[in-house]
Amino acid sequence: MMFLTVFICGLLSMPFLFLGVLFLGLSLLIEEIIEFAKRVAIFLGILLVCAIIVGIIWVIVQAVRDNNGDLLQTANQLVALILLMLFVFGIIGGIVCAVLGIGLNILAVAVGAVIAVVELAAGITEGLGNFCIGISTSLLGTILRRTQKTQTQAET
Amino acid sequence: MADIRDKILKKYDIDIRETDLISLYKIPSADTSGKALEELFQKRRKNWTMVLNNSMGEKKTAQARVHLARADLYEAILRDDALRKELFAYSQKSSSSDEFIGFAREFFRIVASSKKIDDEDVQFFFDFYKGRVKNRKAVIHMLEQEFGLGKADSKKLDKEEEKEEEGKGKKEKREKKGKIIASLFKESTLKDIQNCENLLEEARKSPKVQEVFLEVQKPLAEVLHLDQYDTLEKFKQYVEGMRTAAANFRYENGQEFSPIVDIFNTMYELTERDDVACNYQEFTILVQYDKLNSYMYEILAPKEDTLRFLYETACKYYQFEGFYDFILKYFIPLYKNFGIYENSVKRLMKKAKRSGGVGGEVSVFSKIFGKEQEAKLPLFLEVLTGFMNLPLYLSFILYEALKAVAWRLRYLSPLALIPLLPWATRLFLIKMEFEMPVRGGEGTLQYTWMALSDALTRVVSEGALSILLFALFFIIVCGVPSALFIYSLWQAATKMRKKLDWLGIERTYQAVICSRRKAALERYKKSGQKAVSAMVFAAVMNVALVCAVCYGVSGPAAALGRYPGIISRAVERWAYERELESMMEAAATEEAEEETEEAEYASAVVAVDAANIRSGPGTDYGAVGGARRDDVLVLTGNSQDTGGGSVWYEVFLDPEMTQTGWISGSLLQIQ
Repeated sequence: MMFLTVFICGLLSMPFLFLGVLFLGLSLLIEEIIEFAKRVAIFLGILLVCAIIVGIIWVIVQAVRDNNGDLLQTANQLVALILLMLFVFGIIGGIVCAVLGIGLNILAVAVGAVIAVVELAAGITEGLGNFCIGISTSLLGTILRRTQKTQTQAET
Repeated sequence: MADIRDKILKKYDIDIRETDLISLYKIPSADTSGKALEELFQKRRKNWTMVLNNSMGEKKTAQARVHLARADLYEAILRDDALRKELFAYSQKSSSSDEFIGFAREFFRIVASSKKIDDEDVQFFFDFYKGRVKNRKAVIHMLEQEFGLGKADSKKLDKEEEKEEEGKGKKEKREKKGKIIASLFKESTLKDIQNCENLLEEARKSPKVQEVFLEVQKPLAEVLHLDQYDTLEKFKQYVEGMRTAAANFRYENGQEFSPIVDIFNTMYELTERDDVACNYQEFTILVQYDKLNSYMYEILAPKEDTLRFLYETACKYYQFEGFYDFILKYFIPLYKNFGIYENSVKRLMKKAKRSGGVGGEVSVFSKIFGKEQEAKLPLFLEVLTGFMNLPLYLSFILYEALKAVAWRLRYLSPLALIPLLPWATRLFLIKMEFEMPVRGGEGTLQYTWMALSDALTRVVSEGALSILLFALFFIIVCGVPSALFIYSLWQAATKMRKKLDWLGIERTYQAVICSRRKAALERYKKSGQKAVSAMVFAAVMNVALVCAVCYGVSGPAAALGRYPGIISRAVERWAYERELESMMEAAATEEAEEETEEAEYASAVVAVDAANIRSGPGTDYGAVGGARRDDVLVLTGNSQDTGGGSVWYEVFLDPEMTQTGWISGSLLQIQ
């Protein structure tokens, strides 16, 4: 009845193999979605910083164009203005952070929770994938063992 | 230097070149105190006695016996302060130390070309070349100077050395995952092969052995006749036979044959191990090129330089016709079992195959279905085996298809741009409030292209700054996120290739298929016609069962195939119903509002054939409109009694209820 072993194990190994690869692929995709979100967040952060810098430059350009008083007549005054702008932006940022402190914390926790849930999903799918692949290879191992056993029996 | 050697040889009959007393007793410095020396002597004696009592291998036992017999002489030499100091200097500055450091330098140059050297690599080196280690500290110093070995690593190594000396240190099991032959063979297997080589070296020293066992001068692989045995079973039988023969030789000719016996004993143990049993072909390569084993164990992800350095070293011990010959004969057979590829190495492998005219192209089929495929079956048996193992082959084909797709999936990831970029572009244009073209097919590429070209025409007409800003925003909103998304898909697909042990699974399939083929062949050879009829039965049954399963599965599969259509239609219908419902609700609400509005104002019907609607309450005001019999007029609610029982009502003139006029109540019939 060796043919039955080959038939059952060989046929069953197919769906398990397919599911295993599918689940593993899915888990990788889920993990990569988190990575993608992180990359986008970094990109947005860089964009924000760039926007602030552009804002500062814009204000300076406007000041030069409008020729506001004698403020920008020397390089020192220009540097002072840049520092002032950074200071003002810093203060605004500080106030925003202070006011939204609790909100930001809640946001961070919420984001962390979402990431944890997604990673859990990725972990579960990976586990399922490995489980399916394991079953598939053990089914193949069964054929191998049974073949060897039959051969040994025939020899003895 | 030679003086001290001669002096001791004459006085004590001990050659210190062969027996390095300083390293034998592990004496830490020339000024070691008498008490410490006595402790070391006792420890050594105890150790040798233990080896003798526990009979830990014939070679070790013999060595321990010799050392124990001469222990008094050794101790007498070492107790002499002047002699000990000279011996220490001799041991430190022996000519072999420079040679060994040179060897270590070459070894780590190859390893360092593939990875950063750490304490584990150094530890492996000292474990592997135990017999040659005399200048551990000098080697570590060289590594610190030339290879940037961290101080922390060298301290760790020193501590390990101390632990070993104290006899307390149990070596931690080092897992070397992902290293080239470590993924196939255990460290102990490599060490045993090295041990066999050392034993053979020892056997060559005996003239008696040379006389009786003529093959002893040949390399280890030739002594073992590995080229004659293509399967493990045959090799095992040969080793077993030789083991007995060598034991008889020893019995007849004395202890000098012990190394030969040990070689075959070790080989027999090796054939019993799983890693050798599963990778016999690779094992033969390990034995054939045993001097390269330690390098291949340490290399992590070889680069082109690594291979070239390794080739230089290999040429010192073995004859290769060239670099590509080395890659073909040695590197590819071991490397093909290892999954992670460096592009430069892959290129080299391809070039080697092309230049050598050997390799995969010749036997793609045998490469896929395992090497033992080359042991040919008669054609009818081949066909019969194919049908007998139909489910297995189908499963393997599915696996190969999955592998082919998964390994190339990353090249498909840029295709995701085709739907993604137009969608992002449309979204961008809508959000930037550009005018979208009025035509059907909003989702098509053509529509997006038209919208974009319209927007570009407008932007170009507005000047350079607009173009710059448009380009900037387009890149920020559409370009970068799309690129990041494609990169993420690429990464996921690349990881997919590395995550699963594709080659391991493939080897399992190959092993199963080979065993099935071999079993069929042996059965045929043994039982002939009887076996064929049984095989035909098995083949017919398997084909019939597979067909039955395919037929059984086809029904549900077809239904499953129809599901997407059914689902999409259901979704469309649901959406249509929701829209219809919302439209009806909106209409009903509108109607209700109208009714409410109308209910708020009273209405009146014109009761005469024609009536004027005036700008004020009275006939003195001019007419602003007119009404005919049965016209319904909506009253604003304002009215005025002009005297004489005449009441004038204000009415709306238009349906939008924006203009008003006055009409006499005597002309109306109030509802």
